[in-house]
Amino acid sequence: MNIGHILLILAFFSSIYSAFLFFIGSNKRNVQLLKKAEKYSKYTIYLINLSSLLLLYYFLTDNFLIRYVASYSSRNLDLFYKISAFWAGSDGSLLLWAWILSLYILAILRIEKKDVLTAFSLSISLSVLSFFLFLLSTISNPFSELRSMPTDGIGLNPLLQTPEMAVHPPTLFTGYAGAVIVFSFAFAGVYFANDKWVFRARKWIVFTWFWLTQGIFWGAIWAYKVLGWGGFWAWDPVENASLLPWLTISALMHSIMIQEARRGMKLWNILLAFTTFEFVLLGTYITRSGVISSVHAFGQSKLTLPFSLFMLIWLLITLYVIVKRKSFIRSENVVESVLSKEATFLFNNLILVVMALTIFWGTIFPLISEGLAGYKVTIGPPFYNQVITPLSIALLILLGICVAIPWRTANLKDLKRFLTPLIAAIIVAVMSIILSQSLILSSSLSLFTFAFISHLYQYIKDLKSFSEDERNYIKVIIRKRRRYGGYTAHLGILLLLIGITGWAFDEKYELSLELDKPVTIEDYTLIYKGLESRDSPLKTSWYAVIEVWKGKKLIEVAKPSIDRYNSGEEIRRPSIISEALNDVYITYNGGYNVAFVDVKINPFVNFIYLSFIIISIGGILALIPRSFALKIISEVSV
Amino acid sequence: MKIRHLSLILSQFLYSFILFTILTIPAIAVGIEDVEKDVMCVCGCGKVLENCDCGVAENMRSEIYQMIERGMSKNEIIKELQATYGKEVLVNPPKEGVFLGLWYYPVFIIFIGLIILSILLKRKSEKFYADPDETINDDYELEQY
Repeated sequence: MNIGHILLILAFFSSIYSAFLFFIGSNKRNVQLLKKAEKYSKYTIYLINLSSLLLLYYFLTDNFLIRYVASYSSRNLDLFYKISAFWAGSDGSLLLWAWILSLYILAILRIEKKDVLTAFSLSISLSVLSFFLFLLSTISNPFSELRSMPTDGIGLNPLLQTPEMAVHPPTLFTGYAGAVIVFSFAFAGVYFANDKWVFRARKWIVFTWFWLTQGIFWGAIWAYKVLGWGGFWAWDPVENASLLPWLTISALMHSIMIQEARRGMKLWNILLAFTTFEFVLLGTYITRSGVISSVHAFGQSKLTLPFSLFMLIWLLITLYVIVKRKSFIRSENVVESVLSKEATFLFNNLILVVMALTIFWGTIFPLISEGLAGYKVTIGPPFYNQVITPLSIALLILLGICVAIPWRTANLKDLKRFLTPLIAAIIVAVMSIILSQSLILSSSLSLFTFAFISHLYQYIKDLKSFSEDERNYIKVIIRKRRRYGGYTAHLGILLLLIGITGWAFDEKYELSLELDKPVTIEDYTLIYKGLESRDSPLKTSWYAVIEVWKGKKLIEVAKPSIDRYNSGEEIRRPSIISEALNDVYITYNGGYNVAFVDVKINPFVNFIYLSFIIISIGGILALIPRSFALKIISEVSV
Repeated sequence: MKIRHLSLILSQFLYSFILFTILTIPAIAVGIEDVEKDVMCVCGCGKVLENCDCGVAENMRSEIYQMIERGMSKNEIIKELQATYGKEVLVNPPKEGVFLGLWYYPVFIIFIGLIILSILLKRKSEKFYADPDETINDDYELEQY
């Protein structure tokens, strides 16, 4: 038995024991038990760290005796991808999951107050960790050994040999593991009938949301840059699985503020935290079991039964605790007026949750159809677009409204704030219809303008009004970081929606390019200059060298390629020329004297990249720790 | 009264926008791109035809071209493809039989959600405990163990 496997088994028993001690200790309020639980949870963390580092070491030293290393690495693989091969398969991904969750637990031990709420939430987090350690010790052991060491490994799937795919799983799993922490605090709060869980959990909610956002974006950028079909999102089950928890945690991020302000939505918030938790388990299961046919789900496994049982057990436990604590969960009424921020948050929750439940339904429907009709149907983009598009329009409108409406109730003066955004939206609608002749584009742009101006106006107005007391903008932004972080993330979401709208106007051309003969499409002229080939230890690549001109200016020499790997796989790597308002996306399909290429002109792609940056800044702003914020505020005051 | 008027004008503006967007989506003549986004490539790659460039996908496209040239409508072409390759070729299942549940489920949950929302909005309360902008700066001490 490999030492790594032994470490995982020890970590499993240690985590079970510390979860048990935290559970008993927090119920009996026994300090000795809780201190012992802390000690064992630290042992668990050390053991997981050791086993993870050991697997990494096996990858770096090409130890192909380890079946997992032999399956996902090879001698000629770049060092960077030898590291990322750690999470290329099911077993390593589960270990990464457990590793990240253990680091969260360490962070909670270090930074959270040592009280029963923390202790009980740790018992929940550790029991989830135990589940992953159980899988890793039994059916998903990444340290299983071959009978003899092969001379080389099979190698990493070429599609995964990109920086984006190296980053995507760790960022997404950081979000996934964060959802466990959020659920743990929510569950502990309901268990002890203590409302203060919301104050404890909110930073973890934003942190989880932030990392889920990173994971989704890196996955989408990978799909765009690598898969060669020129899109960011295809409503693939694995993509959906990452979006589901993001939607529910986004809803929770808003509804938790109602609980803080009004002591309401208690049941709703625990259900949202629970649903997010179940969605991350479902996401891990879908990605790593291959149960639903997907281009991303590499391989089948025996994960169905344990994951189904684990999800079911938590459903029953959660429902039981909710019933037992029903008198505590009984919420107070949450609105004073329909024209209030609280009311807009309720609508926001409705839209986000309907989106999540629809996507969930579409994702699992192939399994239902297989049971009912005998064959697995495909649920493609038209179904999702039909439902998600009108909901996104509603969300866009709501974004414009919610920001300008105050808590409690709005008066006439508050509603006048909408006049400027409305006038701007009408002007943009008229101008864009004249210029573009496209009703869809002009409607989208005017709605975007309404929401955008509304945010900008509110940003400046709030800053001015708050600074009347504070007299310093930085101080105001830092003090109200939750509000400004939210505004900033909203601006990013608006840009994202515009970027997505751009896809309705993409143009695709199938071209046969003869040597040195210019072909013009829209504003661009393409001249094929010949074929280049390049050999590397891993693959042979053929590059179609294409000059791309705009008017009389050469903007770039594009080199879309076909890469043939030694394993026999063939990948078409697109060449993307990024301009301010659109991308020229070129895929080479073969040919020597005549190059057969697909060219897509994708509008507004930069809006998507920009939205990613702005949403991330919003998240970081909202995540500024209280102690740091208060320090800055006091320094600025001096 | 003035608030009511303003909110009425605002809601009318938003309704008009939505109606405007829905009603003005133009009818388009059948093109290859209309059909290939609604059928799967049958090579087993799991991709929608419009996103697949394999040989099987190219053959399917030429079949669709021929059908368009014969003057067939989008529905006729999809039925023909379904007859050739089976129901699995459809990107989405038909709106019939057991598959109705797929299509009507979102409408159902939106309906249920709106009912719950209207109940919540009718229950008014003036109790307001804390401004979430400020609670982020407050320290909520719990008992130590």
